[in-house]
Amino acid sequence: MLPKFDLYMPEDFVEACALKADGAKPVAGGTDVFVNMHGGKDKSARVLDIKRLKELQGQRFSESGLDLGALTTHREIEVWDEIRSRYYAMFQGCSQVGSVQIRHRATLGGNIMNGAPSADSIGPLLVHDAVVTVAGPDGEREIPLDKFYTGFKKFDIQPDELLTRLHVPLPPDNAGSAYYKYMRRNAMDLALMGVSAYVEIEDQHFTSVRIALTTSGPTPMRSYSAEQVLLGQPVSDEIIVQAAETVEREGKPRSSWRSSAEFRTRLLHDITIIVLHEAVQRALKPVALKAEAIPMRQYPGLDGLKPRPKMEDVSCSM
Amino acid sequence: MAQHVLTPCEKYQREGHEWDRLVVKRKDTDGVETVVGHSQIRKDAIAKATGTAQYGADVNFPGQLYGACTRSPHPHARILSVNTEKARAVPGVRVVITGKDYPEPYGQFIADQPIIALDKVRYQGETVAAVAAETEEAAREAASLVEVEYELLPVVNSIEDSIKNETLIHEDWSRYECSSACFPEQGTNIGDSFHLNKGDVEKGFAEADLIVESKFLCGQLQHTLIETHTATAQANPYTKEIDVWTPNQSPFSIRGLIAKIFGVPTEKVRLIMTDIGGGFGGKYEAKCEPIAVALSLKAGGRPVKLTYDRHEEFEATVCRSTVQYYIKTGVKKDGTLTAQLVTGYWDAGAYVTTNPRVDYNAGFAAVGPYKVPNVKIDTYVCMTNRTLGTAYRGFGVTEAATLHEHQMDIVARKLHMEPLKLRLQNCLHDGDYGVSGDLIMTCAVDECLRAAAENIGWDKLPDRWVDEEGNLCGKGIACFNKLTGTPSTTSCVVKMNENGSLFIWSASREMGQGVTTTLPQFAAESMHMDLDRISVAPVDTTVTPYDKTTTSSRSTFHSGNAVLEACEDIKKQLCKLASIKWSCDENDVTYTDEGYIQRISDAEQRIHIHDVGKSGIMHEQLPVIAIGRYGTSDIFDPPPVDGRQSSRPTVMWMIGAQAAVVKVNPITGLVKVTKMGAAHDIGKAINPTGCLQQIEGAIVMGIGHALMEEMIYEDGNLRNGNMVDYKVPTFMDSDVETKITLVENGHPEGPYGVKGIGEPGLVPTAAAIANAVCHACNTDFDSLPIKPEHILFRKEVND
Repeated sequence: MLPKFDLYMPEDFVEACALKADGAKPVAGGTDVFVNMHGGKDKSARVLDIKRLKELQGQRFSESGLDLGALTTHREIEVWDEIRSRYYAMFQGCSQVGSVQIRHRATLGGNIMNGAPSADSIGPLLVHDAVVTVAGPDGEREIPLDKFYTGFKKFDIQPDELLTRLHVPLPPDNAGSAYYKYMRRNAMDLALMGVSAYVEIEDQHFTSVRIALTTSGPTPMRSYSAEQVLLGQPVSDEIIVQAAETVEREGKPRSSWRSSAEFRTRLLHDITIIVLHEAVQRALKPVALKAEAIPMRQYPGLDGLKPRPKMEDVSCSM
Repeated sequence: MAQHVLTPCEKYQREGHEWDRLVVKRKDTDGVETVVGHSQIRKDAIAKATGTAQYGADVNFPGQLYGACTRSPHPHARILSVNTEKARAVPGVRVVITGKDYPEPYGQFIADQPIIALDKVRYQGETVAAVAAETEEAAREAASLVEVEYELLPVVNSIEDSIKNETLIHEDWSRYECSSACFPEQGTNIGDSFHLNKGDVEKGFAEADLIVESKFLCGQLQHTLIETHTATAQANPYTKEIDVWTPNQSPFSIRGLIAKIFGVPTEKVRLIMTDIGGGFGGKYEAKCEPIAVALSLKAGGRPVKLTYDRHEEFEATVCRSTVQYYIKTGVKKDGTLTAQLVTGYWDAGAYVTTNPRVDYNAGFAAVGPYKVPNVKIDTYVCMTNRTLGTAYRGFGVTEAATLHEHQMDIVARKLHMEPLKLRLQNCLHDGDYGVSGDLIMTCAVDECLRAAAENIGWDKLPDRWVDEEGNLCGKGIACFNKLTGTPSTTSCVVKMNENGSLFIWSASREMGQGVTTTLPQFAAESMHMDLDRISVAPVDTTVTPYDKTTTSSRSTFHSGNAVLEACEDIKKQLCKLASIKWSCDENDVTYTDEGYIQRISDAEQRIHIHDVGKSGIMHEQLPVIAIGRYGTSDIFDPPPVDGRQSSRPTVMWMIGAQAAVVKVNPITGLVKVTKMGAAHDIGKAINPTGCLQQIEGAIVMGIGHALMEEMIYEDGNLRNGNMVDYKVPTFMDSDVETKITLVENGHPEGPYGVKGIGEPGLVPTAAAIANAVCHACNTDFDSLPIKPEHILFRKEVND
C-alpha cells in the first residue's frame, strides 16, 4: 500500500533544490516512484513534486536540435513528427514504454533518474549523443549523458541539483537510428535486452557510429569497441556481423531465472545485426522517408555464423 | 438520415444468427424460443461498466479494523517460537494471533492445513501470525514486527524431489481427518492418487503396430485475478454469530468450513456475497475468510477487513499445479488407437486442498474424446514446498488435453497421417462408450473438430510454411472432453413481486459466465415474460437456497433446471389465483405458451403475465413463491476407486475443439498467434454473445498459458510474484483473428439442451497453440509455456 508522506509542490527552483538537498524524493510522472513506494521499496516520507518548475518544462525542435525539458513525457516524444523523421530510435524507445496511460505521465527526466538498466529512452538518447543539463543554486552544468551515469542508479549530480533539460543535437540528413526492445509481450513489459544504433553514412562508409546496450550492465551503456569496428569501414554484412560479435563479447550477459546467458548472448548478437541494418537503411533514406517503419526481416549475415538447428524441412529464405 | 449502426446483438439477430466472428449451428431446437438463444445484454454489465458494482474490498463498516498477515520467508521450516510483543506495541494494534489460537486444521478432502501455521511452515508466504489494527498501515507494520524463530528444513522444490520421499512435507497423514475420497500414502509425499483401468493395456499394446511414448509438462500458473483475495468478517465471540462479506465462488462450502473451524453451528455462520472481480477457480477455497473471522472473534466482535496485496496473491493464495505427464499410446497402421497408458504427477504444493478433485477430473479426461479400448491411468498428487494448487478454469482437464493432443500429433506424424484425420478416425460419437465404460449420449466432437478446422481454413494450409518475412508458420488443432462435478445439487426460489416481476434467489455466483442473465432468460422463456422484469437477487447464505458451488461449468445446467421447475410451479399458483378471481374451478385455467393465464372454457377470459400485477389476482391472496430443485445423485453411478469404471460418472460431458495458426520469428523466438478457430458443443447457446465472449476471453487466457505464464521458483523461493515478471497477455497481445462456432447438440437433461461453456473455452486453447508452434518449428516441445529460449535452442525432429 502507498504509505503516508508529505508532499511539496514548489514553483521556485531554488526552493526545490533545497528540499531535495534536505532529502525529499523528487517525483515527476510518478510511474516509478509511486510504484516503488507502494511496494515498500522506497520509504520516502517526503515527496517533492517538480512538475511546477518552469525550468524543467517545455520542448522545442530547432536547427541546433532538440531542447527537451526533463518533464517531457514519453507520449510527447511518441507523437512528435520531428522525432520520427530525425530521431527514430527515440520514437521506438519511448513508444514502447508501459502503456499509453503510463506514457502520458512518465517523463524522460524520470526515466534517466530512475536509473534502471532497462530504461527504454536512454539507449536511444545515448546514441543520439544527448547532453543533460543539471542545475542547482550555484548554476548549471552540462554533462554528456554517457558520462552522467557513474554506476548502478548513481549519477554525476549533487544533492541540491536537479536534472533540468536535455539537448539532443540535430543529426545530419545522412544519419539513421534504430532501437530494438526485446520483450515477451507487446505492452507493459521491461526490456529483457535492447540495442540502439546511430550511424552516418557517406559514400557507403560509416562516418559516425554509436551503439548502446540496454539491460546489459548496471546502466544503459555505449559499446565503444563495437563502434570502432565499424567506424570508417565500408558498409557490408560482414563488418556488421563483426560489430555484433564485439557487442556480444562486451555485453557479457549473465544467467538468471529470467533467461540463460546463452540465450541473451545469442539475442544480443542477432539484435545488434538487426538494429544496425535498420539504422543503415534509414540513413540511406531521404529525410522525408525516415519516419517510416522498416519491416524487420532476416538479414544476410544471420545465417551460418552460429551453429543453428538444421532446417531441411523448411524452405527458409534467409 | 444517418444510418443506424447495428450493435453486435442486433446484427447477430438480423443476419440469421451469424456475424463475422460467430456461427451458431442450430440442431435440436425448434427455433420458437423468443428469449433463450437470443443475445441479451448482460444483467451485470451496466453496474460493472459504470463503476457501481460492489466488490469485496468495497465493503466497509463503522468501527472496522484492518487485518494483515506475517508470512514465512522460508519455504520449509520448523517454527521454534513466535514473539508478538513488538507487534502488540504498535499504536492502533488491537489483536495479534498465532497458530496456537485456532489450531483446528481444515481441508476439503483432508484436514491438513491450519489457518495459521502451527508447528512448521510448508511454503514461502504461509501465514505465521495475523494482526488487526485501527489502520491498514498499523496492521502491516505490526505484522512485519512479529518475530519468528525458524529451524530451516530441506526444501522439496520439485516433483522429482517429492517422489523421493526423503523429506516429508507432512510427516504423519494419519493425524488428519480424511474424507473417503482422498488416499494419502503414509510415510510419503503422496497426498492422493487416481487409478483408472479399462480393458487390458498390455493386450492393447500387443495388438498395436506402433507404440509411441512421450511426456509433457504444464507449468505452474497463477489465476491473476484483478480483484485480489479479500474478506470482511464480523464475529461475535459471545453469541458465536459469524458474518462474512466475501467475493467467493462457493458460499455454502465456505460456510460449512468456517462453522467447523470455529466450532459453531452452521446456521450461525452467514456469508454475504459481494460481486466477484475474477474467479476462475481461484476463489473456490477459503483464504482470507477464516483469518478475518479469527481476528474479529479476538477483537471482541469488531469487523475486520483483510485484503491481500498482489505479492501475497501470488505467493500465498492458490495456483494451478504443475503437472508432469507420461503417455504411451498403441496404434494400428491404419490409425486405430488400441491402448493408452498415462502416468502423471501433480505438484500440489504444501497442502492437499482440492487437488484430488483436479486429479480426478483430469484422470477422466486424460485420453481425450477418443475411442480407446484399453486404458490405464495412474496419477499422483505430490506434496512440495510450493504454493497451493487448486481449481483453475478447466480443473485439470486443460493440462490433460495438452498432453493427449500433443501425443496425437506425434502419433499422426509417425504414421504419416494428417493430424485432423487421425482425430476424426478415433473420436467419440453419440452412442459410443467412454473411458469409464459409460454410454456417451451427446458428443459432437467430430463436428467440432471439422468446424474449428474450417474456421482457420485448415484444408488450405500446409502443416508448416515460411511467410514472406521469413517467419516459421504452422497450424495446430486440439479437442477435449470434460466432465462436470457429479453428483451435485442445487435449489432456487422464484418469487413474484406485487407488480408481477420476478426475483430469482440462486446461489450460483455471477463471475463473468453470465449466470445472472441466463437464469432470468430461462424464466422469461418459460413464462413468456419480458426479461427486464426478472432478476437474480444478491446471495446471502441465510436466505439464498443451497447450491453446491459455482465451479465445473455447472451453473447454467443445474440452476437452469431448478429455475424451470420453479417457474412451472409459479404458473400453477397464478392459475389458481386467477380461478379465485374468476370464481371458477382451478382446472379450468391454464398457462399458455404465449404467457396468458387463460380460462379453458372461455378463451376470452385471460390475463397476460405482464398484466398480472395490475390484474388484482394477487391482491391479499397467498404470495406467489416457488422453489425449484435439481440434483444428479439419482443418475450418478459412483466410479469405484478400483479402476473407476462407471455407467454414469457425470451428468454431462462438455466437448469442443480449437485450431490455431501461429507465426514464429526465428531470430527472436517470439510467437504470434494469428488465427484461432473454435467450435464448442454447448448443447444450446442460451446467450450467444455471452458464449462468444467467454470463448474469446478464454483464447487470450490460453495464449498466456501456451507462451508466457509460469510461476518460477528457485529452491522454494518464488522469483516472479508480480505482474511485471509474471507475464499475462495484455490487450496488445490479444489481436487474434477469431472465429467461433457453437454447435447445438442438445443434452436431454439440460435446460433447453444446454451443456457448459465456462471452462471449455480455455481447455483446448494452449494445446492447439502448442501444436501449431510444434509444427511451425518442426519440434516436439514437451512443456508449457513454450518460451523464445526453447524455440531458439530447439531440437528438430527427424522421423
